[in-house]
Amino acid sequence: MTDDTTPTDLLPMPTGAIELPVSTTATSLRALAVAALKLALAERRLAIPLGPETAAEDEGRLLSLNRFGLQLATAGISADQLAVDVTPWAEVATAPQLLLAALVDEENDVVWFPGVLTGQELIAAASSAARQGDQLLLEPESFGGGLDRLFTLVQLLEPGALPRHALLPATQCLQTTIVAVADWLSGRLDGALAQIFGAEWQPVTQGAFRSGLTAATNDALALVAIPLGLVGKQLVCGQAADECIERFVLQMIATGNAPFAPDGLVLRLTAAMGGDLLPDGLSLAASQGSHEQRQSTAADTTIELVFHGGPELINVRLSYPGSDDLVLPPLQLPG
Amino acid sequence: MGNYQDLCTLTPAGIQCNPQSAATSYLAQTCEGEPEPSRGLDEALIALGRRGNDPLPLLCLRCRVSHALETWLLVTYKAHHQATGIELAAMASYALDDDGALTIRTAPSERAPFTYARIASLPAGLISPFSAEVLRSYDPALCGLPHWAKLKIQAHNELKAYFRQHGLLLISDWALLRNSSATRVRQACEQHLRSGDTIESLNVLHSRYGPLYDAAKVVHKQATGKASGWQPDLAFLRKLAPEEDPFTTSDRLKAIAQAIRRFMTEKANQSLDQAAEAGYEAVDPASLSSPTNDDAPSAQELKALIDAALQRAMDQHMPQVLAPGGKNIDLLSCLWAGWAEGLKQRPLAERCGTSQGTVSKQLKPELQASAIATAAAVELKRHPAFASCGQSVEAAERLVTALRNHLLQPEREGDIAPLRRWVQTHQSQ
Repeated sequence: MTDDTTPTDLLPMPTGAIELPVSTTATSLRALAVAALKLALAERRLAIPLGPETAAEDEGRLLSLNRFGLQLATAGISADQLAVDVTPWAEVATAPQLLLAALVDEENDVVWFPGVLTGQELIAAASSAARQGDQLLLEPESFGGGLDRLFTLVQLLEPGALPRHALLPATQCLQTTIVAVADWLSGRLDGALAQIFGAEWQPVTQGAFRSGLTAATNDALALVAIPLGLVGKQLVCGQAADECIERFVLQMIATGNAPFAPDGLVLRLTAAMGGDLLPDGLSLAASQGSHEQRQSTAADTTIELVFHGGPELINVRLSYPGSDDLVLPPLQLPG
Repeated sequence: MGNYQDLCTLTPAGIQCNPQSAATSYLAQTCEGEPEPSRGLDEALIALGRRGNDPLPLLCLRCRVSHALETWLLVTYKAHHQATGIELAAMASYALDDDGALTIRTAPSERAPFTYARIASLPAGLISPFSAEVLRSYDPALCGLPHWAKLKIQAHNELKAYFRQHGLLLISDWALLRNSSATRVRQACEQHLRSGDTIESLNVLHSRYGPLYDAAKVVHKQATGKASGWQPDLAFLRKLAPEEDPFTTSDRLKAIAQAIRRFMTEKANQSLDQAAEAGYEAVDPASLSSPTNDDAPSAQELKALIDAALQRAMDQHMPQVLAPGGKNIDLLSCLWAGWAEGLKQRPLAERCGTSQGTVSKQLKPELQASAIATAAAVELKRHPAFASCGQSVEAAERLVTALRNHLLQPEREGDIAPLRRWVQTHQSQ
């Protein structure tokens, strides 16, 4: 491969990055970020209260800046993703009003704050972000305005102008969404299915190739695949699955004899690498009205469920011992 | 050619690679023909150096290390000199300080033969010359000697501080790998991988790396009290990929890191191009008041309100910025005076006898303008015309942005921006 890009070992220090004094004794990314926040307040001569006065460096602890609830999310200075703990966002009562991102270079004692998200902005960003357990994975570019924006908002706004919002669990958001399988034939994929589960529409031939199957489903019309993986015993999907060592795929194949009218659905669980074994104990269950099917893995490379058209919705659930179940939004075949 | 016989050193005339006759003679006795740089010869010389008390194998290796360091310095200088003003001689002073002497200073007035046993017995911490530090810490099982020299110079705290002064951050491969998501690794490898590995296998290796790195860094911090300077050792590499030769694992990690660097450099260049194309849109702060009615103040009245609020905020804020006390007061005064005249960063640095990096760190007019704009906005919010700024994120941000731009941009061509005018007036008093 030819490559004209000359790589550099040095990164330009982001504009507005804060250099901590040599005397800084902070040892964690969080502690360095808190120290930088205090330094920035002093540098701007802002006498606004930052709390708590003690233990602000404790991981997971919410801060209070001028009476606004503030969550601090940190990552390394060259990071392309910030993992935001969504636990405080489970309920309105505990949700912070602002989320501040801090990228920290602990080797150089430099901290850069890309910016801040309001609760409402976080909810919007979460709809298209990957999740990994209790963490929401956001790109630093999702944040804007640097510290100036934070200081503007907490000084100018009335606390009521930044309402607290709860972030619903991904699956809860989807309970009322119905996915029309027929849409897949024209390449349309339900937004939530793509954004929350990381589902991808694939050409049928590619799906057959990737799964390593020599005999693809003969009457396949469209294929949607959800990347899956195990983090410890926890099932994860979408982008989070990229990080996993144990990786597999749920293929959802719309089938039929007429080119524009699917009358069947194949749910196929297969390893990400063709021929690999699936982890034992995975269970794929789906129901259509009173008709229910279930298969569990035991030294299998693939398991498969087959459904036919009908007015009733198909509810799909993937389970693994010790993990929360992964519940897809209901799927609908044309009646 | 000359890699083992010529020593690159910083001299008053710049970096020069001088032949070392002792090294040439030694190699003529040891090798058949012209010695080609290779890992095999490196290891043979290391073995000879460690086995006996002869300083000559080490002299050959010091030459070899100096070439690797010189190459890295030149590449880094070329990439960043124009934008940041870094100087090759300043960088080289940290790395190319080896004069080729066959003795090494062991105490202020003591010297001893420059042998492996001697440098290994010196106390922990950076030793001089830097090539001695490279050689005594080198483990051939981890990587090649030239690469080790590069890793060591990248971990040089004083050089890092020098780069920081010029607005640059030295990021180690190990931190870069930890800070990169699986998505970035995949994209970087797809576009820039230069090894025979599959992307799938590198992704698996990378997914194992993060947790082990975090644990190793905790131990490193406890042992050294520092966050910097960590390098993966054999135990780490074996734990990361038990089925693989640690040298291979190290190479695969470096291949990923290199691909990520290329990916990031390319992305940064694209961002710069986009930023250059983006324009600036000035907004008149007076246009941001709430919708007018019959009782509402006129545009002139609003402008007077804004100007008065900004003037009070500048009067309150700027004196402390210009006269903060401490040792930098003369420099700050010079920088702000030059800025008020409209000087750009380079001439400002020249006039005040400092570096561009120092200018950008000491002089932050945009930051001060934001603080003044916010203070003025807090005052203006009390007026009914600007009351919406307390209730709406968008209104608050638009007002502060407009005030900030108003402070930094002249209203009409030929005018002086309000913040510059304030500084000029203050300095002339």
